[in-house]
Amino acid sequence: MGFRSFLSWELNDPVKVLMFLLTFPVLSYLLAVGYLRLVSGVGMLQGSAPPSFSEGALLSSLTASWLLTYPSLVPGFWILLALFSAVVAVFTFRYERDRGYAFSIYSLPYSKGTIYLTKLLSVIVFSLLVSFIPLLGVLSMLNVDVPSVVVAVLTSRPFLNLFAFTFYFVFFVISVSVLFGVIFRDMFLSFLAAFFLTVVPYFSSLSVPPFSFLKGITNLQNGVSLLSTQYAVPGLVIPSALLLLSGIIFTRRDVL
Amino acid sequence: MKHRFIVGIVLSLILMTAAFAVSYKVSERSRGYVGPVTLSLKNGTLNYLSIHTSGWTLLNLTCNGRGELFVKDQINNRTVFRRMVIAHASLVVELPHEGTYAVFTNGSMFCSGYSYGIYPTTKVQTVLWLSMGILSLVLAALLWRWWR
Repeated sequence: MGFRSFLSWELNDPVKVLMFLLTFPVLSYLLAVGYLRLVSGVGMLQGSAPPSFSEGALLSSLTASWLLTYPSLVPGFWILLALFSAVVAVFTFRYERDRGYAFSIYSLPYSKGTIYLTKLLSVIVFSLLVSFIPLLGVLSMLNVDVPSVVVAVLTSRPFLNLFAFTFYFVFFVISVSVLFGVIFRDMFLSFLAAFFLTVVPYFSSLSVPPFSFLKGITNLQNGVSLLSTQYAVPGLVIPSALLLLSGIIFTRRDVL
Repeated sequence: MKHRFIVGIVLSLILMTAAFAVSYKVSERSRGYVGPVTLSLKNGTLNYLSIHTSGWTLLNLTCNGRGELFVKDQINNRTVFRRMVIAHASLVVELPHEGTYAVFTNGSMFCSGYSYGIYPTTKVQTVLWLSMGILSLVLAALLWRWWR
């Protein structure tokens, strides 16, 4: 329990809170603009009138399926989310060393492993808050005229999977950024390397990890499996291995 | 200030609500297109058009054919528009709030349409401004308690 004051110190870091404050409304804006659309589809059925959606069938309405798929059609959201996660991760693990106040942290009565895990936890908390709350906000605040759809989507399995894919995305970006933040000896260099490895492949339309999760989000309603090798390996196994590696590097070497 | 993180979260929630309000300024100018599509009821098979709108919108429909045209709010089970079409019709259909609507007919016709933009309904505006106000009060209380 000794790490709690250190965690609170990491969370209350003014620069990180400022970055959070700058990114959060922009991400919400991008999501909302991507959501506010007129979408149409052609249907065919036996009978003389289309059915109204009763309690159980609300998820098959076009509104519900649009609510579940629109995030994958907003690339700006994911690019900015990757940028924010990379910046916060690199900042947390490099700024103290670059600025020279690292010694006052490492002279605190915490083990290096505790310091590493606490820093990691603060990065994950920031990145998940900045991605989950706008997703929830668009769903709950822009659809108040149809509360039944909001409740149906909110309690549905695909929506949980959407959050899981968002976590995979953030987790991958964080693990890569933390590894570079630990290896390289300069904040800017680490950020540049992390940015090039995670975001730049998207612009060349390669289907490589962080942005390949968007394909999973497109297929949410077709029963996509979170634990299939296609998603679980880049989403959980590789990031865990990278974080373990950076933890070993972090604890085994000297402060600067 | 000690509890910068919590104050930051509350402030960013206010900014999020403001960002939602601003995003409607963009959606009011973003056009949406529908169709062209053949609507028909033949031998018990209904070909219909399903529309999702994220707010109040006016749908300008142009239909050619014969039959009665219906627009049904599929979530509240309500017919919001009903008009007889003979040969040709230019119609303005009001979709009153967000949700899924079905456009169908009991005859046969060929339709296409567009909407000028999506506007927030009164309820959405109320929720946005109300939550902004409540969160501002919370923020003021937190600052009053924790300043210095």
